[in-house]
Amino acid sequence: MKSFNAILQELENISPVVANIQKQNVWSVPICYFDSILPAILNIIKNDSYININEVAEELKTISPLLASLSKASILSIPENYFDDNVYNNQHKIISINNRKKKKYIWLAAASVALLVALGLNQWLERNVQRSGIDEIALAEKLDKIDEQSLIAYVDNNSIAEMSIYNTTTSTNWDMDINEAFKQIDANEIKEYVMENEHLVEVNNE
Amino acid sequence: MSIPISDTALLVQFRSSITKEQAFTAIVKKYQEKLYWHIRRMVIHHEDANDVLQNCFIKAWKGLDNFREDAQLYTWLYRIATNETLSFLEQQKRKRTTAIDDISYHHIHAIQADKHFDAKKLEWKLQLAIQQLPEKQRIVFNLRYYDEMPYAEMSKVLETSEGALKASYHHAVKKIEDYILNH
Repeated sequence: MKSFNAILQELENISPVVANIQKQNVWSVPICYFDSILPAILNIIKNDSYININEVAEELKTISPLLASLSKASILSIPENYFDDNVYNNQHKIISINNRKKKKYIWLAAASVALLVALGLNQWLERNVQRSGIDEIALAEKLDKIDEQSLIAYVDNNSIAEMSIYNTTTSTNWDMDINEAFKQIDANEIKEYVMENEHLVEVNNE
Repeated sequence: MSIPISDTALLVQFRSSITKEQAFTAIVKKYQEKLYWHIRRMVIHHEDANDVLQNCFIKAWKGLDNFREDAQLYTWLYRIATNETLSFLEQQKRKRTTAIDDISYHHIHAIQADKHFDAKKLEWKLQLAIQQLPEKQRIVFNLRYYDEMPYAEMSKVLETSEGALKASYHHAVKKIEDYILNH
């Protein structure tokens, strides 16, 4: 009654107009509606395969009337507000590793990293060495196929020995280049060359 | 065997498989009318209120075993009823693909279509005025005005602070007064 008076007083304070309206139910309800709710609800519950009350209760009564008579309320206690706490606030189990084991794991990890680096470096070096090696072998094989006369003629025509003193230009002024080259070669070198290539000199003289 | 009336005793009875159904029957009979009218004032149509009410009690059946009794049973039931009502109204909105205002218009039309409707009577004007309120404000007004629920209990039902509820009720009453005086 006290609360009712307080609520009515509150309403009168806010709005006497609304407080003076008769609190009358204007809605109609089918006859005997409230008698029909319960059977309808129980019917739904009983037909629901997940919440069939009769079957489960009857089965338990058959197996063990003693167990069927016991209350299902939990007897285990839990800390206050346990279910209200955010899951992230819960303390997680911490697994600690002692110092000796920690050092062992660190050494193992370092050794693994070093091994990986060494393997990688080795792979890289082998790849680079092989590439230059293969090139040298291929070059040697090709040179073996070329006959001696062709090599000499090539060397003579291109003056490869003297090319190192020239710039890498496209100059076609061979006369000037040859003159410059001969200035760099002494007489003994020329004599040696002539003696080694006597057959060519004889041909030219002819 | 007679069924005790107190909610605590009903819960104990419910948790026993032998008296479960009897306890549930007692709970339904005790709260069905209060919950029905709480729902009906929001959804207006009897058929809709019936559907929502049945859903409430089925949820109560499923959830009572785990009810922690940190609130009173009737507070817990009112919370279920309120949530089910709001979900139902949300579904109605989606079906109609219209905003809440159109739902209120639909309810106002349903009130005016009632065979007992009398526009001159203040009680009917009050119903029309209530439908002008936003959803949450409507619930607050109904719980306080019709169910005479204390703000402390209402706070648990609606999970809103008492201060906010008092302010909401004050605004609701003022809006209703304004509607009645101007229509």
